Amino acid sequence: MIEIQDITFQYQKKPLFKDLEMTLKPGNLYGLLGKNGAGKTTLLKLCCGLLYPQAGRLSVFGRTPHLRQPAFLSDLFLVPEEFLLPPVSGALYRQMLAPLYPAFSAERFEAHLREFELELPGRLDRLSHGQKKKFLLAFGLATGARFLLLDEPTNGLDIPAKGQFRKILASELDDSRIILVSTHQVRDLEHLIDPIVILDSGKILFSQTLEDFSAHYSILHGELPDGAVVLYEEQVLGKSLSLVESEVPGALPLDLEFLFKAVTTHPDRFTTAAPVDAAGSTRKEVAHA
Amino acid sequence: MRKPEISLNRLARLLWMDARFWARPLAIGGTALGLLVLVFSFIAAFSRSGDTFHSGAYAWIMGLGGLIFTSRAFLELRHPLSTQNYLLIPASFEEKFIARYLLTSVGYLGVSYLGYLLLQLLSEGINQLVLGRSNPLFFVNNLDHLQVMAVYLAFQSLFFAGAVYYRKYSLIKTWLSVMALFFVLTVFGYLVFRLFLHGYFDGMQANENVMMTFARMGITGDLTIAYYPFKIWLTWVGRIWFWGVMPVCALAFAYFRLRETEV
Amino acid sequence: MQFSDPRSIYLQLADAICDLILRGTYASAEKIPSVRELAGEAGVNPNTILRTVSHLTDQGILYNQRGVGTFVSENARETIMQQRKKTFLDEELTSFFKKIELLGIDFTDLAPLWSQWKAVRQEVRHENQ
Repeated sequence: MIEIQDITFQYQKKPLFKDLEMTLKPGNLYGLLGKNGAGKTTLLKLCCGLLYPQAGRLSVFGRTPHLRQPAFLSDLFLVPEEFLLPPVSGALYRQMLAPLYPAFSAERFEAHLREFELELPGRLDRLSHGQKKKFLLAFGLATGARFLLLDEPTNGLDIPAKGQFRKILASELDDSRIILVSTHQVRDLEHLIDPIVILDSGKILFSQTLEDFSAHYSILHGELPDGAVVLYEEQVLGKSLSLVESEVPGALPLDLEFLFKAVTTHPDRFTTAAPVDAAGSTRKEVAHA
Repeated sequence: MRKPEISLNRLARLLWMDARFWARPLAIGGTALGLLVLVFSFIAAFSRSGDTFHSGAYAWIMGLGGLIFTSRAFLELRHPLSTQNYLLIPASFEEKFIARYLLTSVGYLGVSYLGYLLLQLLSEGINQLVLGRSNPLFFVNNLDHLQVMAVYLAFQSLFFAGAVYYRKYSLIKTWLSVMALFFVLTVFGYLVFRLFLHGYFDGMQANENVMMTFARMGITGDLTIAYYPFKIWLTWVGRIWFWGVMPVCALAFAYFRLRETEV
Repeated sequence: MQFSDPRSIYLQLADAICDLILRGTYASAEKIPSVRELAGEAGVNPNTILRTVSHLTDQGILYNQRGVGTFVSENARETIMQQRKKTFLDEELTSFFKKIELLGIDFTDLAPLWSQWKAVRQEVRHENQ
């Protein structure tokens, strides 16, 4: 479990987070959505202990990130949007770092590399950006770390690789793990990321599972039933696409881009964090059924 | 708030990782310098002027090479992306710090010493074969090289701290900082002298009043002897500062600086 | 925007699994892959697969043996066929009739088309064999 309580953080004089709160539960693949500059990467860095919060409490599986204890670091893997790989071969990289992750699985690492159709003949720093990314994703997901942070993971991946990545990521989630994926390419990860956390100008505007969302809101195309409370509306080919409160039969399936636009346009019209707790329990019921 | 955590297993892994990383650049640098040594040692033997060639060459190559190496010890910290990788390696600060320190101090000394031993044997072997005479080897019958190593260790700690503190051009910046530090200390010493002890000296000599005072205290004759205990005391202060306080402060500074690094 | 299939993704996945059962990929009383494997194959959130599996379990198409895994029920094929027939008669046929009425097509005109379609189909099958 990851608990973020009243975090305050600012770069030099530019305040970013004030009293930020968020709870992430194991067994979930969170999608962190936000525009550029919303603070997604900063939030990930705070969770890794790469940045220290100026106030508030941060706990990742009971450990404080900024102490950077070995047990914390070996239970976490960050795949940054931009990164450097050392001038060594893939085999040597693995030989060097894998033993520092006690739960590393060589088998899964090989399987991921196969899925990505990635061959590693030479030095890692000479690979193309997309190949580097595949390598780091394959390694990171095989570390067995319970907390995975992926910052814009599909950036730089070609079209087949995006599909391969979805498969790998979906197969890596288990009950003990928390996967936090920050992205603004929602198309690439639709049906994969859930719950959704929307971060905008340093605030969490929205944080719920899509199941809960569908139970409270509906997307309708064309005419609306009487008394519908419209939260957000958009014109598509002359017909209006609306987000209305309460569950309505015949509603369209949730579209993340539409949801994102609705929430960032009218943040005050949506409840934020409360339903996530409820979501955890509905999920349990489903699991037991 | 947190206890230091040191696992020998992880420490050994980090050392191995760093050694793997540095093996190539060090080998390349060492080979280049080695070739220079062969050439100059040959010239020295040819011109019969190489009596102190190897002890000098060893001190300079080991010392300067080591300081350059030490300033590059935290190469990762020069770029935020590599800093990020380094900070996230699953090991404690203590382990990361000790690994780098061991590598640049004891590890480097051992490697460079052995390397130079072999190099001078090779070099003098060649000289003997070609010229029929050789330069004296530096490690025979003297322990000067131990002193050179010790001086290296003391100075190295400053450059180690510089490597953590300055992200770019740490060698030059550390060198300038050390010079600046010594300059400030000299100015400070001079000012103290001017302000408080000015009245007691006449040039470099103690003036008459002081002589009289000492005479009244029963100290007469050669004042260098009279000042002797003070001189010993001062020497000890200097030694403790140079061998103890300075390296310990530098290393402590480096450690805390590393701990506070953010990306 | 992509709203091609208006149903929830978990229901679409349930359909896909039913198709596999009908095609015999998953035989009755056979264990189906784990949630994790299915999620990996489909590239969707494992929690969605969990929902799909529990939906199919509720309908008696799958059953869960604690600690062993999820299995295909003995009469899964019949259940699926029955369900699909019901959906067809209840929903699709209605919209079909509506369309016929709207376009002014006489129902008796459809009989020859139906025989023609079946003949073509027969031919294709022969060729494939």
